[in-house]
Amino acid sequence: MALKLNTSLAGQTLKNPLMTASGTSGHSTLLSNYFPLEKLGAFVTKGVSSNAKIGNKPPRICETPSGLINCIGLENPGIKFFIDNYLPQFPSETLPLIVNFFGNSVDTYIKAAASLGQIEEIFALELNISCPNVQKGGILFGSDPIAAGDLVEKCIKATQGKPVFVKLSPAFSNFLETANQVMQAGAAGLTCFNTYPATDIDIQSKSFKLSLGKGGLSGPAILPLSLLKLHEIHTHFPEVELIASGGVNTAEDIIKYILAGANAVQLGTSILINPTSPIVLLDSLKNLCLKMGINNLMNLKGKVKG
Amino acid sequence: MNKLKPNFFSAPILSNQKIGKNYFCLKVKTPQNIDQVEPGQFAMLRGKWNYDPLLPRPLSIARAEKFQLDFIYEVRGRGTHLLSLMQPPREIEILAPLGNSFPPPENSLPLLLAGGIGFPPLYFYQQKYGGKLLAGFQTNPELDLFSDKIIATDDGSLGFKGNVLQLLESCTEINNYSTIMACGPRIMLKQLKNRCSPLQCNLFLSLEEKMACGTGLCHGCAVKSRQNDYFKICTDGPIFKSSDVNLEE
Repeated sequence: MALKLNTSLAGQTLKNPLMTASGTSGHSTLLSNYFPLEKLGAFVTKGVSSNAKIGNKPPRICETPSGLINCIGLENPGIKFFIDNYLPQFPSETLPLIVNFFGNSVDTYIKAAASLGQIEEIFALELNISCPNVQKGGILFGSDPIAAGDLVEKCIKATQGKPVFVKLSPAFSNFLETANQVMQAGAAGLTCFNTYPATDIDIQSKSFKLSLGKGGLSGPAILPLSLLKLHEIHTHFPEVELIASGGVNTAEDIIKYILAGANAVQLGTSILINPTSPIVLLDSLKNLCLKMGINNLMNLKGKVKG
Repeated sequence: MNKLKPNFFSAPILSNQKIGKNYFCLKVKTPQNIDQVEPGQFAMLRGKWNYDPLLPRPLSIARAEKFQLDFIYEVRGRGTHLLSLMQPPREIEILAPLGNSFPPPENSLPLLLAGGIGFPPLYFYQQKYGGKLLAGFQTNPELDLFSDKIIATDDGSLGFKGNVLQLLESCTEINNYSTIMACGPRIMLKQLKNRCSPLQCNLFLSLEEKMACGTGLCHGCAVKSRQNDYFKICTDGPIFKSSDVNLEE
């Protein structure tokens, strides 16, 4: 029997569950230098905002044991430049394109959602709620479930029907309530999760290693943390479509997330280590499925025991 | 122009020998002819270990010929220490060639100024095109690559006592050069940029920053541009005209 790797999100079939994670594959098709992007189940862009952002001053990254902390600062050329220059590069007929977006106020989020919502070539949007609300003293949208739900509802209205996946922050203990609120607001599903707030210190210079003093931790170090939280969300909301993100580096990691309840799995830091990792992992996933006697990968969804 | 596209490959190690105080030369076999690689380009290297250290290391290319790439590196941290332990017949993951390169000479040969482990791309340049190379180190690097006359050491243990810019002032006339190329610590590059600003020379700097991918995907290796936004050192550089970058941030 032929191996079935396909999955579905928001009513669309994806040929496999692998996609890029926002922030690790740029805004353009740069990654196509290393493999045909159509091999992916979907492509998720680096985040875009209505106005261009130049990002934070360096140093922007530091390596930690099995991890990477970044404070890039959501550098992006702005939505108009993205739509005019990068979007046409994507083979949107054969590659579902998910555009990650953010703002710094309710209004800028809505403006971004409205601009992107009308673009036919975009399959879905991914809404980053881990940003500070400058109109509310910099409090993070993702820290307040009610504010997050309100933001998502307004953005969905602005997109005129485009599926919106909400990328949750793992930083808050109320993430289940946030998941509940944003799903009630009409989100198509959840991306679980963004990076973890983290820092590192250089003891010789007695200074933080990152210009902001802190950043977001990614890489294999976070996989067990995000795996647990994703499974908790799946347990509470078994019908919700979940996109896993956090520390995936092997085919085994992909299967773990699917067993925990994921419909799809994003690759982030692994692409930075090796830009061909999506096709390496796809091959490795096929081999592992054959070895394990798996005919239909999605039959494993949420099937972890106990 | 660099015609060769970056390629990710597993490279058999031909040799990996200590060639000086804390300096190693790694030679690897490449799957494609890399004659077109130019001085100033770099590669991302990672041993086939598990997740720690996680990221590949950016290293300048010291020589590229036919199916062989050479790197000269200094053991500084865990990544380069583990790299120094790798011997044939092990293989290493390499993404190369990356970045732009120093321009080939036009009418006259350039002055090449190296600080510490900044010397490999300039050594490559000198071997390929010529030019006057001066290299500064904190202490005697115990390398068998250079004449003592072109070496400066901070502690005076070899060659000129002082830094490479002081050596430059003592042994040659900077005005004689229309092109200067440099690679070294940021403080050295800043001083050189200030020294050259009243002169009519073209100054090309090879910049370093912490890098995750080397491919322009992560936006990690930023340097401020003259226009006050950021260049990506990995894909916009690593070689920049000094007037294009703001090194004061």
